[in-house]
Amino acid sequence: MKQRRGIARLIEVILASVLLTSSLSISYYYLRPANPNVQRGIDDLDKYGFDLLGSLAQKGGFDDTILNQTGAPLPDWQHQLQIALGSMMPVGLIFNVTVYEAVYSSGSISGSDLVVLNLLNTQNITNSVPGAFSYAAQVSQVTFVYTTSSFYTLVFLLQLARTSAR
Amino acid sequence: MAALVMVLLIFSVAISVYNAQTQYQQLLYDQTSQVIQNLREDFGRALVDVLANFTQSYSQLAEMETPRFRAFDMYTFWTAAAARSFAPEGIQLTFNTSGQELVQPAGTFFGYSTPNEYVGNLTKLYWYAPQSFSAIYSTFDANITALGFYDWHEEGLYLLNVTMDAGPDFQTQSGTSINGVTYYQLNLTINRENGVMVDDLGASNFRVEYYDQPSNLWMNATLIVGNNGGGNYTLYVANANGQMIPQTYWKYLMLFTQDNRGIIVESYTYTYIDYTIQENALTSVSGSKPDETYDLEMLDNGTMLWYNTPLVVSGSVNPIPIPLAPVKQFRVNSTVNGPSDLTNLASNTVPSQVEVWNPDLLTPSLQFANWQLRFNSSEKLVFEINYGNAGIHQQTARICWLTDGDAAIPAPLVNITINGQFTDITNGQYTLRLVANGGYSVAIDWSMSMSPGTSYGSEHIEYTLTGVGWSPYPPPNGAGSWFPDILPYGTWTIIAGPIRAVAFRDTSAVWGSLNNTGSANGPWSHNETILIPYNTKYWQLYENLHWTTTYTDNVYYDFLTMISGGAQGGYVANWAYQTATGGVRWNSFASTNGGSPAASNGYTDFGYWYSQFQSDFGEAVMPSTAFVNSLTNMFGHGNAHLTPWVSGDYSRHVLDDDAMPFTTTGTMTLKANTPEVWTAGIWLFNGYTPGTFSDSAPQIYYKMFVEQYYPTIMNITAGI
Repeated sequence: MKQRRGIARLIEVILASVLLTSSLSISYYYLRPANPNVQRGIDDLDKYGFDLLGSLAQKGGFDDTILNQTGAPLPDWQHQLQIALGSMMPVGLIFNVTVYEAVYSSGSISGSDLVVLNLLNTQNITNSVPGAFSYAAQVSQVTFVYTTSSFYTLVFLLQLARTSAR
Repeated sequence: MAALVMVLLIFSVAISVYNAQTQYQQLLYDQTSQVIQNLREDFGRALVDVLANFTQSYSQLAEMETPRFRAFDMYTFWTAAAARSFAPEGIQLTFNTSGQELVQPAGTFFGYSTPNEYVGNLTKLYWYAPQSFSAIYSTFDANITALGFYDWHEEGLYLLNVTMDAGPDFQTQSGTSINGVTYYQLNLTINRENGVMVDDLGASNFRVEYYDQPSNLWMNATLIVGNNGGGNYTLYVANANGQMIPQTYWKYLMLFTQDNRGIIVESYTYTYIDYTIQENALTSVSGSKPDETYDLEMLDNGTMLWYNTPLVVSGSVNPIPIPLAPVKQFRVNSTVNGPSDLTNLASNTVPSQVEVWNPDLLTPSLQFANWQLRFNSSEKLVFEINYGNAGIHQQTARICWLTDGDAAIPAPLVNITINGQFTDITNGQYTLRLVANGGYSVAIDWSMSMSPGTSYGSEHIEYTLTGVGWSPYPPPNGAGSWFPDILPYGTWTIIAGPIRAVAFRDTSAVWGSLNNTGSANGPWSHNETILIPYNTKYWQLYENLHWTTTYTDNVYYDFLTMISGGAQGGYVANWAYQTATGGVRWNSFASTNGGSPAASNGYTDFGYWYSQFQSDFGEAVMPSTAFVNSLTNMFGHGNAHLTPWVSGDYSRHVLDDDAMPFTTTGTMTLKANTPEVWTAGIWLFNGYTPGTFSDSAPQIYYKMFVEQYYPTIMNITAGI
């Protein structure tokens, strides 16, 4: 009598263990991150975008290349920026950058002046063809702020994409 | 066994959860660190821009309000721009400028000592000393809720710190010969935030100014810049022409440093000038003399003035120029118990202000009280020195400039009140009433009146300036006489600084007294200036009148007449004056109609004061030697009289100082170009019961206004 009761409990434990292990395995399957290749790839693109703009910023590269000291856009600045970014872009990466200038708007919110972003681009600053980003395997977008030595605050929206998956 | 299996299972669950969390955090890190890094860097760029703009603006404007407003405006804009730019990332930003951060711990740098110096209220400048800096400080906190990232705290402190060796090594150097020219060396150490040495500066980053005595201007020096590495520089300084700066002036330098970020620091090789000033007016007074206060003026070339007269400097002492700091920075300290009273010299701040005059330094400008500028050759630093304690005949005045750029302008102590056609100026001791608009009012023949206390009252004495000629009264051929016939006329311009007010006019206008009519074109040009210093017993009067055409009138010409009584009552009972031998003659005004006195009723033996007084109130005119000489010489010796009289209607007690006394017959003629140029002090006292007069205020203090007793400068030194 005693022996039969012990076997039953052992069976219960084994069944419970199997049940728990199965549950954990299933939940782990659903909890694991997305494809690490895809996820890390986008993170890497973000990081590359920040590093790219950050290195230009550190050298004062945006001080006298986009706006002059009175705040007027310099002639041909879009082409110059396109060349600068393009020359630093590795093969297989495409970019598209949009530049805004932060300015006070004419309106206000709760008595405080409102800051809006004015689009400076008049043409695309990119090394790709239209539609290329739609077919890219990995796409990231970086927001980067740069205040020039003449105190104009520029906001860059840099889109990066790989043209083929790693 | 079962328990063991359960433990293993639970442990494995915990490890799985931990792994998942760690992996998640790792993924978040990359995203948050890049955003935060960009924010931090641009926060720094923005703060540096704000500081550069702030220092440039302040250096130009010499006042703090506009640059600070602009700094906060720029800062607020940037914070709004940052918040707007990162809004899609879900970042919450909180900025704070209310904190303080220690920038310069207390210490001594090459002999110059500083207390702890902090930056707060966003920006701070400690300039004008051998150790000077510009700094900006702010913090922000960031949360990125979308990524579960909270409580990032960032502090931004940016600065430029310039330390010069203005100590003994600098002071005692003999200079360095370069290509046959002696250059003086100025050694600098320059660092920025986090103690980083600034070693990328060149000649274009420095400007040194020295005082060029021949031109009476601060000039840009010729510089050779030696970069010794590690933020250490040696500036070799010669004059604007590349020649040696004279011995007298080379130690007094202003250095302007601007780093490659645009941040400016202004530093000087000296922080104060000490003047030991000796009074010569009351040297024979053994007791206290509390009202012996001089309102001295200081020019940028180091010249000190009393009544526009440069004080004589003793021996071989050389004046030291005042640097071109913003005028709000200047303060003056004074000893109380003689030149060795160093405790008071360090802490006893006396009333002072800077005034803007016309380039001739003789007439005030309409910018008289403008404090939003730098000290320069058109300005006077005015301060009060008192010799009140018994036996004190020398004091040391310390002219210093505060290093804190937020130094406030001195508090206003002299008040102006408009009462209809009158303007009342109160200095704490008396109220001087001017008929400001038009110079003379209808039916009364005065333009200045002094009353004791802080409001104008019935107890007062009126003053009329340069009354000339008389007319028959009633017109056209009445038996009586109305005089004066004409008076200087013109609207007073009245401006109050913090501790001294000025009233002035410069015109040719004339007032026809009998007919109460004014004309812009009189037979003269006249310039009158009244100075009302804070809390003194006196006001100062400058008369500069020149007859421009030949003028003939009935006989009468007075300089500065005292009148009490009149329509407003307030007769003063007695008159007195100092005789030519230093004694005093006095009497009471006639108690009945004394009529118009004849010339013989006056006195010709007058000295250096005349007064109306009674037991509780008195005023005195204390003329200068120029006044007395001009009065006696205008029509020749023997004509000038001091004449006490009572008007025909018994409404006025008058004390006339006549260059030519009233006579009923004949005429007098003033030739073109005849001058009447003089100064005087007009003194208020508490009254006097006639006695020996040796203890009366006029007899004690009158020498203060006599040229040969003006103060002299015994010593001048500068220090850090």
